[in-house]
Amino acid sequence: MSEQVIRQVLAEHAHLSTSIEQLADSSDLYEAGMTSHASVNVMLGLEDAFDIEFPERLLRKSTFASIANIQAALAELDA
Amino acid sequence: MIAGAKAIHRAPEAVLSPRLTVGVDTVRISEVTESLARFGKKYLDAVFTPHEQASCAGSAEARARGLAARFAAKEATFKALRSADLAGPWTAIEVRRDTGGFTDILLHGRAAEHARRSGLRDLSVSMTHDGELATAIVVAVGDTVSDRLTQFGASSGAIAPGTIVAGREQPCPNR
Repeated sequence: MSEQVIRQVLAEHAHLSTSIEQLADSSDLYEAGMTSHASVNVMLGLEDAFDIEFPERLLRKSTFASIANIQAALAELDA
Repeated sequence: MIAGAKAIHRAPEAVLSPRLTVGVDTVRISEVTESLARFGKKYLDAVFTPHEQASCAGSAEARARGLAARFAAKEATFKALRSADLAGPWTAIEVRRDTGGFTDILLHGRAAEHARRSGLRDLSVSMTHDGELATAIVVAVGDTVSDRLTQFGASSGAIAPGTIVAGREQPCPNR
């Protein structure tokens, strides 16, 4: 369930040059075309979708580098 | 060496120039416009300090241009700080505009801490925009390697004194 929501958020905000369906959970989203600015929108989109707020310690490029990394961060937040 | 000049012998560290690092980034202004439309105040407060928001008043187009240039400056600063995994909080890097219209970078919180650990003492920023793009370049000036070794050796690994970026450090505003 959470993976589907993450993929929806990425499809809407990440501005990927590759179709989200073609990306594996471990695919590097920055290599797939996500800019730093787009990662802000991804963060805000995830916060809205999961009703959470990312704490400062998770505001790192690696947190948003892949679907798997996002899932790990959400699990840490019990989302 | 110039013919006829006397050789001058100095210790190697005496002739080292201060360390320079540089970062550059470009942002599509339309992406900022989209973010403002989609997330509004939440986007503004997550990325820009109250001073930055106040500095970008005006028409919607001028506001988006100013904010895009400031976001580019923040990313350029992360690059100049050589922070491979540091991505936020974005409000920890603040573009300050003085009354003369010139801009400066002020670091807060984690970004200031990272700069201090890296021995970077001062930053300079230049921003521009043209058409759809806003660009910023940031140059950081730091201690030479030998300076840092001396300072770190003298303080047993603690952060050396006298390395506060731009002479100012404040708690991180907002998030």
